Amino acid sequence: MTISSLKSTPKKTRMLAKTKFEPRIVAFCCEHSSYYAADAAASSGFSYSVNIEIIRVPCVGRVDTIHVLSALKKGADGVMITGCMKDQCYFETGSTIAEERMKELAQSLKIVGLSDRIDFQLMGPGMAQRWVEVTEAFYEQIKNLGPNPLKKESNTE
Amino acid sequence: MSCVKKIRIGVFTCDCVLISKHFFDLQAFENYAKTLPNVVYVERLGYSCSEKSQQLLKKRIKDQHLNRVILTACSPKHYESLFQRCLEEAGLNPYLLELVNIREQVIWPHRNEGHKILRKAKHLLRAAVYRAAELEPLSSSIVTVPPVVLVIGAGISGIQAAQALSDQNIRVHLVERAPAIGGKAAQLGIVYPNESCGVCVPPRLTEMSRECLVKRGFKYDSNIHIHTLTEITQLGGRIGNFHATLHTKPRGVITDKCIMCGLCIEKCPISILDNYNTGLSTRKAIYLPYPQAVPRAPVIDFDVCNRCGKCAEVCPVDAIDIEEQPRDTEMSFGTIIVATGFDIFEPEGMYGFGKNPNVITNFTLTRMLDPLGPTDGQVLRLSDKKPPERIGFIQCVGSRDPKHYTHCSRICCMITLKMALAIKQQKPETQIDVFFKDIRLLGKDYEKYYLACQELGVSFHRGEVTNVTSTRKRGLEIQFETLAEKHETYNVDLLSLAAALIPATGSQDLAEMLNLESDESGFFCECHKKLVPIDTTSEGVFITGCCNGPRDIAECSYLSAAAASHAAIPILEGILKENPVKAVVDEALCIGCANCFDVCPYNAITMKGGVSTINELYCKGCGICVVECPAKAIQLQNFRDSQLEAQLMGLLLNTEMAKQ
Repeated sequence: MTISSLKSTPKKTRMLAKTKFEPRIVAFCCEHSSYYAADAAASSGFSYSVNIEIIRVPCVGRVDTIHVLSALKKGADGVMITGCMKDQCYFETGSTIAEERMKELAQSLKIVGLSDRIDFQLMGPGMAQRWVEVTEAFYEQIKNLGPNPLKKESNTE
Repeated sequence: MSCVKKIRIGVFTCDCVLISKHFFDLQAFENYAKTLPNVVYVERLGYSCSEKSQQLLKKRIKDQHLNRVILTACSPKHYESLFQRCLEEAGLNPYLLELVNIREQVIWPHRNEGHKILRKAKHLLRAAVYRAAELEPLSSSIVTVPPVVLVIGAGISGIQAAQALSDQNIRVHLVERAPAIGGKAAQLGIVYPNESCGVCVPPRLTEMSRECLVKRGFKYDSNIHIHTLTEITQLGGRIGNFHATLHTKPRGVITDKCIMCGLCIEKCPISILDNYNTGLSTRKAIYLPYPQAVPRAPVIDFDVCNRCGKCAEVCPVDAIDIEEQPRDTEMSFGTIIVATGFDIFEPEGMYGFGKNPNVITNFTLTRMLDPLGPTDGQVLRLSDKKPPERIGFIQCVGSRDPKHYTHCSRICCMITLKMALAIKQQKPETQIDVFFKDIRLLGKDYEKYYLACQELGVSFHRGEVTNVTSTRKRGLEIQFETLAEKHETYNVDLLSLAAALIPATGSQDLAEMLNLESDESGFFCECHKKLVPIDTTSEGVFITGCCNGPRDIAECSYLSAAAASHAAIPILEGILKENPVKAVVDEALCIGCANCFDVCPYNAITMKGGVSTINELYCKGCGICVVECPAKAIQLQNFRDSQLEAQLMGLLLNTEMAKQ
């Protein structure tokens, strides 16, 4: 059904995608740092893109590449992986190990052209401003990239 | 259990003014909640953190036979534990609660986004509903805490912490490797800021006079058990269940029998340099470490004793036992306070130290200034035992120096000023030159010392000492470069080096046994530099005194009081609930690759019989190992793959790919 509808109005869909494209971004947040940074951003009156949706994890080291791929496969347009600053990681080595993993993942995703859709960021629990900066930058990046090519149709509610 | 029982999710929305109705259509949100799978009950709670709402929540859990609860309210950092307790009281496992952070993640940051707020709230709720179906009850194991605290190091910090614990009627084992308690403070003679003896304390409420901290009441304090000459050879376990092996070297003197007559010391034929006086005097092989030493008995230095037995012959009370053997004692503790203190950096080869006997550390000079010390409070040149006419002080020796230690030793400036002042008061004609990079006086009254020194004519020179050479008659010539790159030369008779404070020897072994972190200088790291400066990353282990970094006695005192009060919390509570969010291994799936073993930051994983085993005492629940496992044999409770996957599914359900 989706393919046929795409075929019937290809131009219109594409136009719609360009103008009204709203990315879905999943952010994995360490419950000791970036989750609080997002909270702090909210309580200090900052705003960031409404399309960023947070999943709480105990440590950025718990985020498996499988989860990132799964989010992309399920139709997320971008995935953020965020944790503590390396020298202040709540679990000592979590951020360092996660960074290596995400670098490797980005390398592999380059082959299929999806590497720009993941973003690895580190911040402290009080860095509200930084949370806003990195999410806004990533939102803009995804908006420019357009919808996830794995996804056949734009969001419907 | 959860798979058999039908899942019944109750969704409760919080109606706090900060959250809801003014910003989005709560009714629509609730209606949407009703359409989600497994949701059997939806209700608006009012202020969910209020007592009334919680009673209602508990009632509903029972009435509606709910076995999962979702609460859409504020950030979990505020009330998660409150709501978990609420579930527990309603007879439901606290880990069957899922919070949706509507306030901080939806309302506050997106106030002006109109209908998009509702959309995001729906996504997050759906993710929570999907995740809730996968949640499992987790039980925290309960540990009974033995009401005993181990204090490692009986310096001024350790003694103060032990005393503070004893005052709360908690049993303390105070372990010290030296033959007497008191640590470095007992060696200091006079200390700033009130020119009293290092271990002198003002009277407590019930006491009449000032007294020596070392001697104070320990004899009558049945809560404190002092283990001198004792080192910790083995230390393991975790909060509520630490077990240690204490290795006690023989003292050779039975402290209970000794009457301190001193005959044994007189008769001993062996004489060696006394470390307590930094080699300024000699002592016998059987000796009293220092005049106020506790325990009140001499000790035999078995490294130099020739076992002639003369001491045993003269002892009138048969208190000497040359044949005493070392012994090992095993004990369990609830919490641990580490107060291992510091050592003085040996500036070997710097500024002529070690070559010219008139170059000494400030610690040696302190011993000379002690009225009861080896020189009766007189400052003397070590080469000819004459009072020096000119004394030089070089600051920051070994500290703030990229070649040795980068940290600031913090107390050397005050030590130098204190000694300069004492020397000037004793002999005003002595010329004193202080060569410094910065003078750092961090205490309340410390500036007075600086002003007093300047008034009495102490010369301060800011810049860098480039070289120190020996001149005739063991004098010293100091080449000095000022900030304006001017080269100057000074002659002094005695040179005191403000040597850095460094971690005590053996700190690294202790750090390994207790899983403590150390900074680049080797000092133990605190859990959080600002908010919990006495807790460490190892739960139940607290640090106080200079093992955490250089500080003066006043700072050590308040840190010790803080450490004692924190260490007392688990003891006074008596039981501990373990956080059940830990990694678990499915042994049937484990292929024994040991990848998890390599990444665990807490050494919680061991390989036993070809499969990995997780020591739940050490596991802190980071989940790093879970990702590393190629066989997916490890899962982190409460953050299982299936739970995260379900959450993602719920979040992204309306995108086309997720539907397929």
